[in-house]
Amino acid sequence: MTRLVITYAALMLLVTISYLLPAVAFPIATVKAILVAAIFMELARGRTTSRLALGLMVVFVALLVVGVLGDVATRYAASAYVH
Amino acid sequence: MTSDRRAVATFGMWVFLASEGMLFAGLFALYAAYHHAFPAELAEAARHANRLLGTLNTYILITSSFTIATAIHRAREGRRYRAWILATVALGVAFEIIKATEYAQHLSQGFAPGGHFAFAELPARGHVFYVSLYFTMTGIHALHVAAGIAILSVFAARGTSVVRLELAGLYWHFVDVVWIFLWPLLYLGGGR
Repeated sequence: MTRLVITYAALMLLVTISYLLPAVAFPIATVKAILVAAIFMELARGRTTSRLALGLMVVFVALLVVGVLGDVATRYAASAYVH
Repeated sequence: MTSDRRAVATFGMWVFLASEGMLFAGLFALYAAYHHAFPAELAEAARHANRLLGTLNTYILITSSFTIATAIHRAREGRRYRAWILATVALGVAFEIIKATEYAQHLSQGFAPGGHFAFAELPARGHVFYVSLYFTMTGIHALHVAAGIAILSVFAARGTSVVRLELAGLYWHFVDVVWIFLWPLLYLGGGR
């Protein structure tokens, strides 16, 4: 229970920091997501199979975002979107 | 339920959540693509999101993750847990009411997606992509919150097994994690 309370307090603090410093809000969001996954979703002491499913999701999400960004960055000029 | 069946149920939930992650990944990739084409317009349009209500909802949803985690913790110890599920449901409903308030405010000002865009303070070109993404991403997320509210309401009313509560908890935390990324992206001018 102490773990849950400490995690919750840390998350609340991180939200407040993000609000005050929006420039670093996205990296902080990654920290918050890791905290929720590790403690609340119990991945820190969970089974390898669950971690595998999450790990694969992270890999595919990264592939998709990097692929799409790479495509629009090299294939089209920004002016192509202007209508 | 044997520990093997419990492990399979948990793994099945994680596979489902991974597929859900891909659904949102498509939307995040779309945001990244439009952000590449219209960085200034997306940032300018994002300034018109209601930062105060968005932040309030972030506090609410993270608190609801804590309450459902506490419910699971208590259920495992054989203690009374339904009040904690009820608190989670109440926080979920509060989140949806605030979201609906934001939508109503935006739509009344013409801050609307696609061809309905008629916001006086911004030209449509480029900015409208932010508005369409804002409504699509927060809308799909809000539907997920509603589904969680429905499931947890049944558990709060009838009680449930620890394993089912754990699986519902995983889903609820996942929805929280999605919001954790939506908030800086759509409300704090993220992606810069």
